[in-house]
Amino acid sequence: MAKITENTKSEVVEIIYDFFSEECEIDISEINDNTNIIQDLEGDSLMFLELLEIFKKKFNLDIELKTIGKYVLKHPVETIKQVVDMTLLIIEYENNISDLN
Amino acid sequence: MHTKIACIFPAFGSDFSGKEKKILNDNLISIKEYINTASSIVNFTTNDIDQLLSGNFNDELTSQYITYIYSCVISDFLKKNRLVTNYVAGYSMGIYAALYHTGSVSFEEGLLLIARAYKLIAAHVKDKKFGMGAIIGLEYVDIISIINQNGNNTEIINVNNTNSYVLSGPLDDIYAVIDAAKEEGAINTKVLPIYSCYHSRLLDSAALQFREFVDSINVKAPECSVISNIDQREMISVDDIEKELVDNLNKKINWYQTMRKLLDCNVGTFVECGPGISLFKIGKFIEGDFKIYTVKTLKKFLDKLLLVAS
Repeated sequence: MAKITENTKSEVVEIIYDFFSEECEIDISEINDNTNIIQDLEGDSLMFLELLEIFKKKFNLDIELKTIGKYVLKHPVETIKQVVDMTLLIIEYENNISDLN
Repeated sequence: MHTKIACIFPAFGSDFSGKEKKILNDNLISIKEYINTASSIVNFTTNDIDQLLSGNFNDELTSQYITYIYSCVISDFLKKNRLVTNYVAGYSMGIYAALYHTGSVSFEEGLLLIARAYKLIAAHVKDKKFGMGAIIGLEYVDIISIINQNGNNTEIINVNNTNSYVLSGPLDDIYAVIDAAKEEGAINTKVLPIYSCYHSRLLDSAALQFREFVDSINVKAPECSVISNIDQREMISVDDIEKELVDNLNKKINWYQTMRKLLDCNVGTFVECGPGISLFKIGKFIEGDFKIYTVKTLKKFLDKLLLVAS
């Protein structure tokens, strides 16, 4: 299990904000924790997949997509904050995320 | 260093970006003449060009026509700007615009092929309920397992990349497979707004009839290699092209392998010639040293082309 430091959190937030700003062609100042990925940014699931790949490489994570998918089914990810929280859980627990309630 | 250029053509049904009209305006491209020609060849309304370019369609056939027309417009624009294409590939029904680009079929012939294929398929699926679906985030073996348990007549008819698959089959089976895929952990699933079973063996008889029509068209040898989306062979003869046109109805396709073949052929630059950016998005999950330009980045691509030429 990885330890999540304040540095990790800041890095994750920065990557996610930068990612959606670039992919959705929107100024980063227009994104906040409550921004809805689909409704406000016209984002899609491929973006989530792309983010997973970015973090998988960056943190050398051992994750199976369908494990993440099963978790997301029970814990939908719709806002930027939810993406951040989800990402931190993935980094911390990797495939063991399925053991979380 | 990958130096070759490939033009890739999207299928209908892809999401428009919403900027298709603006892109034409910004590049001083007129689509009106193409639409007027199309309306004289096939049953195609021209009442509202803005509506057509918005990506909101009332029916599948209109979607096919406008995707084809837009792709041909972009193709001609690139040729006017002296683009030399080394390879071409069409994603599913993008084959018609791909063959227009290579000079294998005329603009009018492409429309007639679309019309005839659609008519034959529609006649075949009449009174039966077929559909298509997409699954993202499961592996191939997972989906096969789900199909075996939930819908034996469903097939994986396309592999977009290692995470994304397209299914075709009876609509009830598609829904069952999609529901099971969600439970299995697919990141995203979708029943597509397409009510035929493209690229499925269920269209074998429609393909046989389509062969007769293809034989009546004056297909020409392509001006550059076309990569088959079915078996990734390089197609350079009339026979190759005619076979591909027919097989495109009822044979499985594999976009991932098609892209891999193009990369093996030293392609480093792809130009997605059509509305939306679906092939660009799919390409993000294909490994390799390449760049995909879309209509949104057309100007950037042309500036780069000029730089290389100078």
